[in-house]
Amino acid sequence: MIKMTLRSLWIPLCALLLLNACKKDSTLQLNQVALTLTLANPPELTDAKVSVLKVTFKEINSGKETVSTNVKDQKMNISLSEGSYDVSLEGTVEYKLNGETRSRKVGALKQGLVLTGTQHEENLAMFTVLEGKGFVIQEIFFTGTQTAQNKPYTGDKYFVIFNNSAETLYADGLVIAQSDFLTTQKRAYTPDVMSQAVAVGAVIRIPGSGKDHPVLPGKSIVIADDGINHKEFNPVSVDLTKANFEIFTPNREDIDNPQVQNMENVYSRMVFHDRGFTSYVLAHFPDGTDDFLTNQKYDYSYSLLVNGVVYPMDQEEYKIPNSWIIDAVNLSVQSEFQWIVTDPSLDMGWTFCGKIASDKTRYGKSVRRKILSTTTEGRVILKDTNNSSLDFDAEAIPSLK
Amino acid sequence: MRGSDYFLFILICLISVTLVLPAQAQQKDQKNNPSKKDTVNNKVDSLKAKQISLEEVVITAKESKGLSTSSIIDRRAMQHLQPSSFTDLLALLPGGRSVDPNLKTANLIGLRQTGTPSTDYDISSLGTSFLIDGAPISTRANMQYTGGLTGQTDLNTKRDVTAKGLDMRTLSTDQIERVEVIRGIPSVEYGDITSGVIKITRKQGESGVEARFKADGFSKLAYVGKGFAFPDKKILLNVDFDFLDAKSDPTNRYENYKRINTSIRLNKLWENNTRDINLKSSLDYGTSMDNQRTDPDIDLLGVDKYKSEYNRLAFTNSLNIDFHQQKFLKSIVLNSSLSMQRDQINQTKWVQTDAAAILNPFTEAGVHDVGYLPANYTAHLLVDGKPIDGFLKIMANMGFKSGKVNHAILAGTEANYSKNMGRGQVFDPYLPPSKGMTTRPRAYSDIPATKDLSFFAEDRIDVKLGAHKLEMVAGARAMMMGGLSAIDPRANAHWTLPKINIGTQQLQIELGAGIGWQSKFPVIAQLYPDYTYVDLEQLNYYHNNPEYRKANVMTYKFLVENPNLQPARNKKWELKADFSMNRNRLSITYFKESMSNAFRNGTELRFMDYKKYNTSGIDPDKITAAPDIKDLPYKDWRRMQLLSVVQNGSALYKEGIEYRFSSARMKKINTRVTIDGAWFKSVYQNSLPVYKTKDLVIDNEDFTYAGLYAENDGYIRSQLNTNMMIDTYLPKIGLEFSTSIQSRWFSSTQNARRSGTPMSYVGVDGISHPYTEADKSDKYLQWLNTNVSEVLFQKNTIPMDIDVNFKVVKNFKDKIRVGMFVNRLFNYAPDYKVNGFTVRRTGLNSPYFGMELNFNL
Repeated sequence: MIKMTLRSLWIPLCALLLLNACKKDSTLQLNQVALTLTLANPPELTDAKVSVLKVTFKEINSGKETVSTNVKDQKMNISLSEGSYDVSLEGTVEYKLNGETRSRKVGALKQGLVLTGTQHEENLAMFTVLEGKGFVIQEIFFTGTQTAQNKPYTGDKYFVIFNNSAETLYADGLVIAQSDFLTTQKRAYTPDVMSQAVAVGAVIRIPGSGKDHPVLPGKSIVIADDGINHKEFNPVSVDLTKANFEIFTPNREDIDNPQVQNMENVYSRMVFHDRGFTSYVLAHFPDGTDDFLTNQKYDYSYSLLVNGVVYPMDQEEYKIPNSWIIDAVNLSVQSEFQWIVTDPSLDMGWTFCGKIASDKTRYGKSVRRKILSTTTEGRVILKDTNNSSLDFDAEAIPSLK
Repeated sequence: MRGSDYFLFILICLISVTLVLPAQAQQKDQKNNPSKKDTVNNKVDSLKAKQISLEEVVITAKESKGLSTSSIIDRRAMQHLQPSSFTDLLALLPGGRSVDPNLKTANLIGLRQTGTPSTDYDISSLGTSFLIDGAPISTRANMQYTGGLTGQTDLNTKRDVTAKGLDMRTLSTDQIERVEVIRGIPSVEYGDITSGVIKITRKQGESGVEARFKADGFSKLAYVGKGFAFPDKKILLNVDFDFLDAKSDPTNRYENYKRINTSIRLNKLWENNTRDINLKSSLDYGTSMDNQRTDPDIDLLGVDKYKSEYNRLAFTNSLNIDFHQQKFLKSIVLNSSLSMQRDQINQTKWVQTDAAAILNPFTEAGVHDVGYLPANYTAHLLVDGKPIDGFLKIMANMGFKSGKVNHAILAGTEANYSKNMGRGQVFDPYLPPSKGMTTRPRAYSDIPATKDLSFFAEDRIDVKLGAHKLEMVAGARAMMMGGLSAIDPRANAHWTLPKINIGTQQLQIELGAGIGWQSKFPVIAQLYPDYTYVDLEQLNYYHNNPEYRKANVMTYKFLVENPNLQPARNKKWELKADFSMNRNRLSITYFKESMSNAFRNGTELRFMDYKKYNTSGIDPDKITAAPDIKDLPYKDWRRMQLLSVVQNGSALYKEGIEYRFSSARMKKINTRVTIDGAWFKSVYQNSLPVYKTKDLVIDNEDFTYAGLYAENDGYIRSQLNTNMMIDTYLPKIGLEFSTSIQSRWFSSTQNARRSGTPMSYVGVDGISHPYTEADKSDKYLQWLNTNVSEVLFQKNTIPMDIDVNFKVVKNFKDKIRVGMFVNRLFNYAPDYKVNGFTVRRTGLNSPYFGMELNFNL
């Protein structure tokens, strides 16, 4: 009896199979999501209105970019395919100051916005872009050079700090700090302070009482890892004996050139990340280093997942409040980039040397800020829109080479 | 070197062939001689024997019926397992699991525990003694560490077994007849242990030419052995040779491991009416080589090379005199061995300093003007160890009867001698293997020898009380080494209840209990640590003109010996129950072990005064000679340093239940089911408070505070597993196959609670202050207080996973055996979530498989 039933089922089952085989494969159709983006004005501006605006939606996985300028009543409606997006905004707003109408550049950035479903609403907070008027980071040579034996040579790295203003500025007390977080490793760090401060793993400071190190308009100072002539050890390296400052840590197998003044090691030891996964900030401590060291310790935790085991990690570093930061440069490489590790109001882009992790071609290259213009007196003004992707020449030839 | 390996291989093959073939011929003659009647009788006998032996064929470990809890692994089980090294046999112990051979790192043993969380808990492997034919393999004088290159990235770290016991990779299994793993409380005859004893008995007696060839994805193994018998002279002679060549990865020929073991063993018997004398002598030679270098396609320079070689020659004797007519003295046993090793690590490294670095070649403490290291150079490090170990043990077995009680008394003494005659750490101090090294060249031959002496005695009684039978053993072992001593009392009891009739079957219940202490002496590397050199920069003047460069250091030389170091001591107790009925057997053991003074690298604070010379008074552009410290003003400075010191600071608490059930072989299908497994809970933590500091620069100065913390690290781990083995043995068609279903029901890890706040702190003044609430917001002292997240102490449980392994062996007329195995033929490991993270395990397991060929000609 059962056999009979099975036999009777046999034919329709086969037919079903055939029918199934005939069915066309559905083509991969991504749903469209109607996104409503509400733009929030920078809080410090009164009666602000968007005048010119461009929003770029970059789908992270495909790299596909969608640009829109269509904004109405501080809202933008756009239809996008499902995906993960980096949303960046560039524009100008008009606002009132003492009854006068003025305009100002604004920016905004939202990383990793996930769009699914049919509708999505999102707020985008705009911030004003303060174009560089003081010290800026002009160049970071973080890759080092390669020896004749194809080994990395590391002592020849340096920073160049530039006076982008029209007045003589004093470099005394200027702080350079390296970010603690990597741009290639996005983690849920708690507490999350990124909107208020930058977590830093190494801090150095230019010594001085306030008026010891003047920097003329359009001039720069060099801060070397080791202020020596590196060509002595590696002919393709650079001569840093003319550097203004060098980074020296006693009892750490370092060398001290008496002809180059030492930086102060405020916190930890500045070791340049030679694949360029860390970011750098230029800052000024308003209440001195003691205040910073006592009050700005940053204890945070995160979860590390290794081979199926979750390790809760506790870490201690320092943080520099965003309001103390003069300039910031995010560094990463294309294949590894996950996020920028500063608030977008400090820097909403990133620059690079090398395109993949441990890219051998990165050696001997640096990142250099682009020239915006030259004044009639011959003073160079560097581009500073707080977007390192646009402001910097990536993989440039080091200026001291 | 490759060429010479092959040469050696061929040479030994030739020797074995020339030795074996004539003997083979002789043997054939003997076989042809016997009369027909004998042959028929033999056949009948052999059939009977086959039926009995079928029941005895056990291809898993057996639980011993003796007083000490132990697992017995015999030839059959090893043949079926198809191992590459001794490590693979441990899969047969309760709680064990088949794992792929890992021949690129040292294989250490950890009995009755789940994992070893850090090197501070290596006592488990150090405290396990391996005895080969009664003689221990001493690792006391092993010092094959690479000074100045330690760290996770160093190539030697994963192969370093200094103070970690025996690297089981070096033991091949093919010469072994039987292994007994004493997991419980061993007899007092075994000392210098904390964990257990591995008793290895090697093949003795006549055999055909046995050969084995194994190949898997990573390695090739070959073995040839032969046993000769000279019945009229009562001599047995065995010759063995085996070779293993393993790669870390089949596509990577730059990291490999090779092993050769060869042995000649003699067994001579003198018999007469009053006594039998049995002498077993063996001469063993073993070598192994770890090689690693970088792929020349990646590293164009090709300088970095690492080679670690181990050579051991051992001469072992065992003399057994059995007295037939003596009333009291039953036998005397004398074991001795002498082994010589030549271990060498040859490492070549391309050293690249940042730019240049201060060079500290001096071995004398004090002030030195020093030079600078070049920016890059090739460094060579040779670690030359020549351990010599001697062992002598004399025991007497005595017996008498008082009333109903039978006494068997064992008393004896054991002495061990260990000395390392090597040249030690050899390198050019002007081109050191790494910059900023805190060690200097050191000759091991300068280190004194260590000698220990032990006495032991135990009384074993057995008494029959009606249908009950009670066996008990109690004894003690006293050990001395240098100024260290330990007394280990141990006792085991075994009670056999009368058989209970259940239907036609009889149930046999046996109960057991034991308690014992075991002590392990520190090894030479722990007793005689190397000097630590700390060089403090007093002047660092790297002028643009090389003529004017000058550096000056204050060198401190510390010998961080611990005069209070004591032997590590483990207390074990256990309860056992054993049920057997009609050849089905269930054994259950509950154990608890506690040790609170295991060896650990702790910290010790040292303070150092030095001067910081100030060169700001001289104009570097106008000088005509390098500055001299005599002419320079200075500031007095003080620094602290935490130095590593061996302490009795680790605690290990182990608890668990081990179980094993084995069924009788089911008739007709000849199938046996064995179920074994264990629940283990292991707690590892520090038992002494520890000083910790931060390697930090704060406000242009080194951080100079150290906090004293009650807890350092603590790990709580547990797991429950079951292995079910179904093996079928079909002698008629010469087939045996087995399916092993290995389930780990869960494994969990948890960190023991610890505080991130120190109890007290010390500054450079060396005075201890209590750590207060206010210190938590001090510019410097806040760094001693660490926020420890609550989530850190959460229990992390990994849910079940199941592996199915399959093995099949085909036997051709007992001459040729062909076997193959697939581990993880099926694997079930569901994904799970931890703290919101999904851990994906599906599809991540690839099977491990291989095959082997055995000849018995």
